[in-house]
Amino acid sequence: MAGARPGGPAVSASLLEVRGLSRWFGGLAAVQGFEIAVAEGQIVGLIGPNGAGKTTIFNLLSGTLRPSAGEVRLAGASIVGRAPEAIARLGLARTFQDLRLFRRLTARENVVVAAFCRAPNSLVSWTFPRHQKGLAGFARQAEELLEFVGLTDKAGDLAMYLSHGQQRRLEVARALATGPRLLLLDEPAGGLGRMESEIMTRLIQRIRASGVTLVLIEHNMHFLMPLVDRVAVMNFGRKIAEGTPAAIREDPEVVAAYLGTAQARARA
Amino acid sequence: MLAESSHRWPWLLLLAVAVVGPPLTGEPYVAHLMVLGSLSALLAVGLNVALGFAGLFSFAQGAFYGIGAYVSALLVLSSGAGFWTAFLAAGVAAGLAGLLLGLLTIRLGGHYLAIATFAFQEIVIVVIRNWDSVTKGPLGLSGVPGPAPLALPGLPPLEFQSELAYYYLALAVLVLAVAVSWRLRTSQIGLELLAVRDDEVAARAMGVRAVQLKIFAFSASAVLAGLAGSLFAHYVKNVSPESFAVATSFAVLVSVLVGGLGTIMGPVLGGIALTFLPEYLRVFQEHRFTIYGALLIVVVIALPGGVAGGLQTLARRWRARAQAARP
Ligand SMILES: Nc1ncnc2c1ncn2[C@@H]1O[C@H](COP(=O)(O)OP(=O)(O)OP(=O)(O)O)[C@@H](O)[C@H]1O
Ligand SMILES: [Mg+2]
Repeated sequence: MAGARPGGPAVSASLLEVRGLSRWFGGLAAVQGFEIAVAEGQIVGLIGPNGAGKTTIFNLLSGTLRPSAGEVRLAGASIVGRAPEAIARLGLARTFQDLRLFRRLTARENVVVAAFCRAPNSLVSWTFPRHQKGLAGFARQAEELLEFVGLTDKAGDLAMYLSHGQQRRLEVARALATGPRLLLLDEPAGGLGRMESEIMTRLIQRIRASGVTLVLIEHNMHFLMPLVDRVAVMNFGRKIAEGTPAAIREDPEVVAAYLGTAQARARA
Repeated sequence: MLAESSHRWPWLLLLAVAVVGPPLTGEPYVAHLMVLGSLSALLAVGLNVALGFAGLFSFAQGAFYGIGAYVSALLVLSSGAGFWTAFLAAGVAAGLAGLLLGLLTIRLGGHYLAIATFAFQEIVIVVIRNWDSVTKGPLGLSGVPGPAPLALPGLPPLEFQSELAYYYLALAVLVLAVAVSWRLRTSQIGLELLAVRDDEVAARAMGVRAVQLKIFAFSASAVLAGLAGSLFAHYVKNVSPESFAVATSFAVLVSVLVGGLGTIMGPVLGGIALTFLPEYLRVFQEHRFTIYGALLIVVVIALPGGVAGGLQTLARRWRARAQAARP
């Protein structure tokens, strides 16, 4: 699997396979010809300077945005052009960099509603009330997930009143509630202090241990590098490198394009 | 599992007052106002399903109300159908109109949806005013018969002639509508609608079938307006276009916002209050829309949850204080 090259022959073991993924906004190519293959059980990091196109890739994979071109396969099935709610049902979940919780719902309700992803269509179950009894199971799962991310005592609080760190964890719990095989985390440690970020690190390790495959966008290299098996580097909408964390640290193009700007930023 | 407090007593109190109050006053005029108040409440409960639960703006409630009224009246007048058939047909017709409008416009974002429903409202009124051969144009339909007595086994037949009797009919429909909206709010579908209201992009990414659900909520709100329209037509016995104009849509919107958007009780209180206030406050009569506007501004700035939302906050604070006082 480690030898899988972008554009090479199909690797059947890949949970996620992306080829030639592109998206233009007017004249701007936010993502161009993006390729990646992620094997089941891996954690892959996605890095790059601000505006490189990382979040846009997540939006394209999850169906939030339609690709201008390209091919996306999840467990072998093409998901390009499908609605986000259908893609979620196929086992791809995501979090949002800019924290898009259901602000006026409680933490518990945020998770329960995502768990309904695996319930029968509510328009049918509402008409046939007998299905309602089955919903207790989803409430129980929500409690377990809240416990998993350490938010049990906040279950009854409105999402908008949680702290930033708690909101980041609630985003993770909500995405997990859909029962994903592949989880896309967009800057899960963004804006977190050292303590909170360590909690998030352990959380991600436990998610991986539970058998979920992960793709992780992150600016903080200290956070990202120890977690991931492989890193893909974006710059100006294109993937400029991919490899193990050690190899990426040495890659001159990456150092120039990405780490260079990060250092410049750190100095400024 | 769901956020809103589920205390029963405010409901029982309200229902007791609603059942016993009007006959105690002994005035048919109070019963008459209560009929109109119940219909306003029914319209508000309907709009609340779309706007309060799903976040869908609709300026077309007056039009759905009118569709229900005309369909019901025309069915009885021209085909000799009974009231109950016509009543159900009014709900179905308004619901189908809502479904069609929903299918066409629901993908438009917030402001565009509001404008599209406003346009629909105007179109329906223009059609009613000008389709003389069917609707009798601006003059409207007259001589719409009231419901025939309802024969229930083991009881004397229920008559709906007096204001009071008709009021109990309207109240029964309102209670049913509130029960349906309560059930909706506390079920899977209700939670999914609220998620869509808060953040549609995130809701869809979590597997919520947002488009279907929004069309459903929009159509359901139209059904309730259509049923209210039928009750209105067979009560006043004359239907003419101006009862269903945009001013009506606006009044429904104000009553939902003032009563408490997204709550169950708020729209009921709002609909009834905005029916009674003009009767007892002279200024209200003369400057109705100015006062609506002022009310809206006050609610938006000072009381975002409306009256019901404010009461809930008070109750929460009071409970928290009681808890803190306990050793
Ligand atoms: N919906 C959109 N409409 C127009 N332009 C967009 C849209 N979404 C993203 N872009 C543009 O696409 C480019 C890539 O944005 P993207 O959010 O994917 O970057 P990113 O790598 O996630 O950056 P950051 O690290 O700051 O989160 C940016 O120039 C952005 O302005
Ligand atoms: Mg981003």
